[in-house]
Amino acid sequence: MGAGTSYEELDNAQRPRVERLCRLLLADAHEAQDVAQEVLIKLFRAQQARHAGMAWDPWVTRVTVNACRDRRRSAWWRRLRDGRAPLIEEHLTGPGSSPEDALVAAETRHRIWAAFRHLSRRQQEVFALRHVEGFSTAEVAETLDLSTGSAKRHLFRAVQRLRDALQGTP
Amino acid sequence: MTGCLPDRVLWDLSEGDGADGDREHLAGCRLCQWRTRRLVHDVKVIGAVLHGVPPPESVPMEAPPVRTPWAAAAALAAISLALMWTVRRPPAARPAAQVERTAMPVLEAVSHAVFPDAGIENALGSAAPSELELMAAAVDAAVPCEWQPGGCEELQ
Repeated sequence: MGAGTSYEELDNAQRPRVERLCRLLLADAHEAQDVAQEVLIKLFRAQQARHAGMAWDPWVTRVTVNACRDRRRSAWWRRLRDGRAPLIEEHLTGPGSSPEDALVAAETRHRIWAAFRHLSRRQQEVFALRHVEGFSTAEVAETLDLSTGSAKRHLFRAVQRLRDALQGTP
Repeated sequence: MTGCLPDRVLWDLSEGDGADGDREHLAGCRLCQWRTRRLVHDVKVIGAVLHGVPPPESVPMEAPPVRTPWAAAAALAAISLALMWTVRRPPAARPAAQVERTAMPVLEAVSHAVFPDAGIENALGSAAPSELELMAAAVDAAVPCEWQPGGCEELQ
């Protein structure tokens, strides 16, 4: 996707990933939606500035991860301020469930999501980029400003805990 | 599973890393091969689940996010107010008898200084709390009891 890409094309290409990442990294559906919108506005501005030769995928990923971090840091204050209850995130549907996802029992999916929510922020980010977004470990490390070894350690710990959830191990 | 590779090593190998010796072991060990396949499969399933939408009630939304801070703030404010009220409140009036008993040493000292009369001091010291008012009245009275209409017998 080069510099001459229209915003509509860019939005169509990036929006599902931005929304999915926000949904993964933020537990609150409203916040995920807000942050996804913020990122897409930044994307619009960046596209208007016509950065020549911009590699949009890593840029969008980095901006999304940072925006989610910022939101998580300030989440407690906002909840206190506006007292908004989280809603069920039905309207934030991504590209839909895969056949593998459909085969997994609802209870198992529940356990996996719950386990994912209990991972550390780093583990969530690393796992989401590597195994949901399909980045290489090196790309994950570069995006998150980690060493490759550190990214691998976070990834393996996340995998262990998520596998425990998959297998129903307490 | 003695001699087989730990999950961490299998993970590294599945990611394209790992030592040559471990890779050789994996090539010759059916159990480790099966475990690696299982590991990779599990990660694919987890990735697929997370790629989808969370089940409606599945994700613990850090509940209850709204009421807890307000409830905590309200409780904190209530405790603070109670503490402030307790600290600033003037001491409650205690029963007269208790005050008199507590203040006895002071009264005695004052009495001794003002009226160096051993009789009065003795009478004050031995008086029962119910008679103190009579004793005080007698001490305060400008007119000796002998001169009063009832005489001194009324006080006894």
